[in-house]
Amino acid sequence: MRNNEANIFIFVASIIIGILISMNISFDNSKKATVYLDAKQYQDSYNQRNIIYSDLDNLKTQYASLQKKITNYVMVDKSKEDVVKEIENEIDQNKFLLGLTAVSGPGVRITMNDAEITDFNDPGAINALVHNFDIYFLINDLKNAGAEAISINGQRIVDSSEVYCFHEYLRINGQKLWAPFVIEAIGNQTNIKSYLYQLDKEIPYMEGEGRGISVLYEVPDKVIIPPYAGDLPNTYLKVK
Amino acid sequence: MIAFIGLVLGILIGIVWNVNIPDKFTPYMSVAILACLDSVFGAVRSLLSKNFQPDIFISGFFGNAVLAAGLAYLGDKMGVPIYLAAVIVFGGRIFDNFAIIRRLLIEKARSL
Repeated sequence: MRNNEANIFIFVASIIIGILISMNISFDNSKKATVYLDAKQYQDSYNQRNIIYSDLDNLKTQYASLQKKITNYVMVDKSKEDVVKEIENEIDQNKFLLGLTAVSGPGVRITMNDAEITDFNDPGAINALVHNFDIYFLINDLKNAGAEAISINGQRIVDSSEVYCFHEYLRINGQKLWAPFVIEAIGNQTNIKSYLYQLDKEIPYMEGEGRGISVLYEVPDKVIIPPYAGDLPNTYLKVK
Repeated sequence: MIAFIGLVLGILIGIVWNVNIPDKFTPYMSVAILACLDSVFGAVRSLLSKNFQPDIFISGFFGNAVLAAGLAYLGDKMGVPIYLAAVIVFGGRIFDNFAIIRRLLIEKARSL
């Protein structure tokens, strides 16, 4: 009797164990088993997951807007003029983003002028001039600080703009420019100012030891930046 | 032997039934399974040495499973792999019980 009862118990218990085991076992090789992560790996995976999720969201909104555009074009009762107008709007938007339209907004105006050279024979005199690298660094600093449009002496800076130093003048976008250089940029005025005046950035370097370039920093409420007037060469460039 | 039959039967039922348990519970399930296995081995051994007590078995079966899962969960929250303790102890006991079962069976077979 005791023996039988015990056997029944053992039988039932092993059935339960069997069920639990089969719930845990997965013969599916594509599904990974639980991986144990330490704290750093967990942090990295978590960050990666967040990045992927935000990318997914961006793609979804992009998809939704493109889908809407397609249905707009496909709708039969939309007249030709409307479609043309929409395409023109898109072209204008692209031009705006490329720098081919004049833009305005709150921003900064930085006027730089060469320092007075008292002794032309001093080999250090060359440091008193504004050089092309000063312009490069300043443009880079502005971009890092979040400037959305930049112009120098009326020349809009786009991706392919060059800054070429040629003795006493600089050539930008193919145009010769002389000191004083007026750099205008549109962006967040506080962020730009706090970024540009950090000690290891360009403006303190220009104003500092051995150079003494005069830098006038203004914060106008509205800065107008002209469009890029050059051409965008694409002889070697092809769509991939 | 009856335990073995029960095990196989249970696995078959589990495959057919296709219960869906949330994935985050799987580490706790593994330790609970180990605890249950240990209880069963202990029961078989007590059966062979003629001192099986059902209430001890039942309380051990469920109590050990719950304790093992709880310890694994706590260790997860604290970041310390406490489940290792359960794994080592239950694994050790399974082997001990198995050794005793083996001896008892072989003695029985010899005296037959």
